[in-house]
Amino acid sequence: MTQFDKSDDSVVVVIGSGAGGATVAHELCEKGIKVVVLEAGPRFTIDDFHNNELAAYQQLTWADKRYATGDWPAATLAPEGPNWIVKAVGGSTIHWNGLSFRAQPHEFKARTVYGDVDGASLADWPITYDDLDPYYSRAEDKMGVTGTHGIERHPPNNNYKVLYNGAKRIGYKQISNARQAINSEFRDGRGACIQMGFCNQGCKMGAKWSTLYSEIPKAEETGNLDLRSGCMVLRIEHDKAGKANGVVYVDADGVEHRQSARVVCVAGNSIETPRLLLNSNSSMFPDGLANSSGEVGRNYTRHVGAIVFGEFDKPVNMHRGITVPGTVFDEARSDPSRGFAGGYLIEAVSLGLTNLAVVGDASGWGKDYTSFLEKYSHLAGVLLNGEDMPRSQNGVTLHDTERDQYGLPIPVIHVEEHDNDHAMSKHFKGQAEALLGAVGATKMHHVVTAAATHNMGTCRMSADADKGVVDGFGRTHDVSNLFVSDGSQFTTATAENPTLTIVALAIRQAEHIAAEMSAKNL
Amino acid sequence: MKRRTFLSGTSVVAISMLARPWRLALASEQLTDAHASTLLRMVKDIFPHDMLNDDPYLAVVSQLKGASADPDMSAMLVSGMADLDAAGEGRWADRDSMQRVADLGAIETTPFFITVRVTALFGLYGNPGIWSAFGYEGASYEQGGYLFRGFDDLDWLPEPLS
Repeated sequence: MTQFDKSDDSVVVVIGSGAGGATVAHELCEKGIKVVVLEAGPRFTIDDFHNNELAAYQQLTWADKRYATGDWPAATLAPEGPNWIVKAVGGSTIHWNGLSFRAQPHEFKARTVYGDVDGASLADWPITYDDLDPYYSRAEDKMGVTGTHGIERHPPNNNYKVLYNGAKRIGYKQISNARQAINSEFRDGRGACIQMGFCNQGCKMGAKWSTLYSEIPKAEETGNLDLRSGCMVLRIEHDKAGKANGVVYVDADGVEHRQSARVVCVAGNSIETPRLLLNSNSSMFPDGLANSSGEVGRNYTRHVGAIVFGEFDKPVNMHRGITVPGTVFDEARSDPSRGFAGGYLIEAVSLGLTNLAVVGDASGWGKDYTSFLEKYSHLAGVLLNGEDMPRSQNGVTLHDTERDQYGLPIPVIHVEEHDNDHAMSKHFKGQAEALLGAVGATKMHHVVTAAATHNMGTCRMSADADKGVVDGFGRTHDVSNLFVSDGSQFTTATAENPTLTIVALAIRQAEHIAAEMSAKNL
Repeated sequence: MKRRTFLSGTSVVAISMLARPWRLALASEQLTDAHASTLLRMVKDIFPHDMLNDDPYLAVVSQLKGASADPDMSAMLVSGMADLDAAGEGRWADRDSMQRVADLGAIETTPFFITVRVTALFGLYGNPGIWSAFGYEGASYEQGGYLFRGFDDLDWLPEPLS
């Protein structure tokens, strides 16, 4: 495997190996640029994955302590673990569901389209849908998204049949089981889906796109990637001119190292990315690196979420097959007549028995609860994924006194939910009950989702250096050779699952970095 | 997904126990057979399933006994059970089921109840031995997934049009 010298200051250092980090790294490697990827977690193979919810959770989860404050469910239900993301090579592309939707054109102009929503920090993105359009197409091809590039969609599974028919009966028209980065047939060196039903536990077929077994091995084949797993970055350092010139990290044995860098890309997910910038403060950047705007850590979004399970007289067996097998788009539009700004998706979802028992009711017990669990084979689930309002006060700060195993201040994630989020959630619950009821559900069971898995914002894009952290290419306004390459860049959440947009942005960013390096601007 | 919730719950338990004055006094208390039978009753009342025999519940009791090697845990369990007994006539475990459930309802926010509930939650529903009774089929990779084993066998609704 390729190894670059730690004093080699011609390398691009990428921090994180998930959807954003590994994609930007791979794209740069293909252009002949030397890249060092530092990943905090270990490197697994698909043979290591478990078809078991508890074992997989323990294997993959980023379990380092975090605090949740504010009024979101995590603050009471998961006060020390408000985010369910992966700490491993491949990042959260190991446990994601594979849903790959483009954000809608109007969602890039949230402030203009939704107007001045009181108590929200809405803003327009500095880029448009048209800027991203060609990169979306490249991302879809790269990831193998069904229903694009001639890629066949999957056959409908049981849970999707419930969603589809329920949606039809209440008048919805935009219902689809396409747009999944899960191979329906062998493609690009990855196997085909066998409807295993463990998408969130790491795909043992490698059918679902993950950077672990796509972008990373491809980048390694170029000879330009030096991937170091088990390496937690402590801080980014800069020279006297204020340009990033290296990163300090601790390896799996606890030994500290410094890697020199020509360019640094941060892609640690929307909690770790702002945390690292805040931890990289210096006399020149007293409030944290790239934080002259004061926006680092702010405007955190995580999607409005909820699940409704319907109980049926006849069997469903929702666990058989793709975990999130289909989506209704009719509510994704912007339509203020519903009483809220932004839109949402309704997605079919299944949980295994263990996770259902754990999340079905965070304090559930007794006959009512166990009667619900006993209906397991006769349950079908629908999930809300909606655009939540960004708020300036929502986000990531550093704990005053408490330190983690690396000696770094623990991140505190604060969320005060906006009334708009509640109005959207209420609307969804009504629609979900109507949808499930239309196909014969006899009872409904509402689930509060505590842990956020979609994390966005916290280093938002803005054309104006006073109002955001990065520009339209993800380059920080303050430090010319420092980039943010993950979902932290999102100016607003959009209603769609974020991964495809993260990958499209990363491809576009890599192109920009390579051009700027050739032009000697970096 | 919310496992952390409950782990957090237990760490709150641990912290609150450190502040309790009786901790050292009861530190050497051992769980007796009577304690074990009370815990079995409690676990079955928390997650009652007529379709299960005692084996998976006994496995949870064994986990609790194992955890009680820690003196803080042992003290909390013993004291929690003593409180349940003291809350009414006779031993709690000998009361009728409606009364037992009402007594548990009265303590459902205590660290004692939360600890037993969370141990039972993971011990029971994470036990592959009980899954088939619920119609959950567990690991599927070794059997080739469900592609040829019923992923689309729902036949009481029309087939979706693409």
